[in-house]
This record gives sequence, C-alpha cells and structure tokens, in this order.
Amino acid sequence: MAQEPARAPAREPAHTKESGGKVPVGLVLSELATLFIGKNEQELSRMVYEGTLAQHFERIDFDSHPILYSTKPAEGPPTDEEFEHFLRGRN
Amino acid sequence: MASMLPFVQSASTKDGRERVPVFVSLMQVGHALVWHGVVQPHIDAAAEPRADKGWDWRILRTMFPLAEVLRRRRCYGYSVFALDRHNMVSAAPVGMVLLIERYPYLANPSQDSTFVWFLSAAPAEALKSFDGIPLSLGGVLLDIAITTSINTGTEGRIALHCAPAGGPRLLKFYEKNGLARLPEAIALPAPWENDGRYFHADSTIAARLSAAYNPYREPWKG
Repeated sequence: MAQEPARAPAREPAHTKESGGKVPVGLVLSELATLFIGKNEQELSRMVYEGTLAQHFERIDFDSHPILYSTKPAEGPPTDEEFEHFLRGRN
Repeated sequence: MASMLPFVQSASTKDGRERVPVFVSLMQVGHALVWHGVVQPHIDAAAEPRADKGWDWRILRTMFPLAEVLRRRRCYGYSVFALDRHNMVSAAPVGMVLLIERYPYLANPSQDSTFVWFLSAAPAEALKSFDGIPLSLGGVLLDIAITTSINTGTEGRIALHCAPAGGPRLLKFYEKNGLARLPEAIALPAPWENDGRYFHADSTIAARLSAAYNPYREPWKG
C-alpha cells in the first residue's frame, strides 16, 4: 500500500538541458524514453524490439506508481511557463 | 490571476447513484504511457464500435501539440484520475482529452472557441481492478473543454468532430450531452468538407451545460 499522497508536488525533472527556445521535438521524444520507465532510449528500443515493453506495463501497480504521485490537479489553463514544460514533456 | 472556474472534483457513477472523487491534471507523458499500456488495450478489445480504437495517446500527447505550435495555437491535454474513495491515495486514469485553445468557432469563425480534438473515456472493463464502478465520464470530459473555454475567455464555446468510427452511438452520445449539431450546409473554416458530424456549443448552451456540473466542482467531502 502506498503511503504518499497522490497529489504530492511534482518531482524535479531528471535533467535540465535547454533547447535554445526551439520547438523541442527531439527532447520530447527522449523524454518518452526516460520520464516514465527510467530507461534510456537504447534500452527502450531494445524492449520494443524484444516485445517486452508490454510486459512492463502489465506490471504497473497504481498504488505505487510514481507518476501518480507527481500528478497535481490543474487549477486552470496552463501558464505560458507551464505550457512550455508541457511541450517539453516535463510537466 | 483572475479567478478560474474550477474543474470537477467528483464524477457520477453510470447509474447516477454514487459519486467518486476525481481530479483533472495537465496531461503528463507518463499519463499517456500508462493509458496506452493499461487502458488502451481494453478500448481496442471492445466489442462495440469506438472512435478511440487504435489511438495512441503517446503520439497524441507529444506530437499534436507541437504541430499546433506551428499554427501559433496552444494545444494541450488533460488527464482525469479517479481516486479510491476508501483511501484517497490510489488513483487510476479514467479519461483523456486533447484541446486546442482559441480555435475558430465553427458556427461563427469570427469568434474563437475551444476545439475538442481527441476525447477518450476508460471503458468499464478497464476500471474493474479499481473500485469496480463504471463512471459517467463523457460529460466530464466535455465539461473540461467548456471550463477551459470559459477560463480562456471564449465564453464556453466549444466544437468537435464526431469521428465516423464511433458510429451512430457516438452521435447519440453528443446529442444526449446537449451539444448542437452543426448543419451540413455550413462551410468549415478549414480546407475540408463538413460531413455533417460536427457538434458545437455556443455560449448559451455552454452556460447551461456548465451549470449542471457546478455541484461536482465542490471539494470532495466523502
């Protein structure tokens, strides 16, 4: 059973590399590989190739999944800063 | 910051007898990944026609907002989570919606609206391991769009396209939820045809629909 509240403040992003203000397509893609399952892109590619990614998802336990602990309720439309973080996959 | 109309904090069960605490969050990449891994398989396996079969929220969440940046419009998603009423800690994703701010209002392109680009509610099968209660979520997701429209200064106006893959059932759903059908004769402010499956809410309709959800905006009290 999880002990942390579901609405705890968001965690700090794993890294803070800036994109120079350009549309961060590559950065967003890389976040796909790292944000959720803690795998780098090579590991993620291997999991896709081996067909083991789906097995990973089957093991998700909602009671303990950190994504839910880093989720906070929205109080309105995102500010410009929040929207930029959203685009980068870092909200 | 001006005061915002809050999102709902509870949702009705399908039978209307009970409420379940929910919260609305700006969609994270992780939410899309969880949805794709845990909820989407139930959608894809559904026996009935569903417009969201085969959708990939990982792509919708990351790529589509970037595409709208090129059009100088803000596009973002919200995730809806249901909280376990017994411990108020466990949460499960129960709805996803992708919106475009300040999109030309289909019924009157001189005005802006919120366009509901993608909307998906978890089927009952996906909720069986979580409190086991089917929730009434479609209206909640539409309310998120109306609330966003109100909070971004477009007076609750929304519009959407009812995907043909949803069949007659989806058309009935939007009609049942109080949206008006855009007449097929009205040309769209876009380079494609009006197929007669567009729906909208003007500010009057939106005010009525939004008011119906006001009781659900109150903080959950158990």
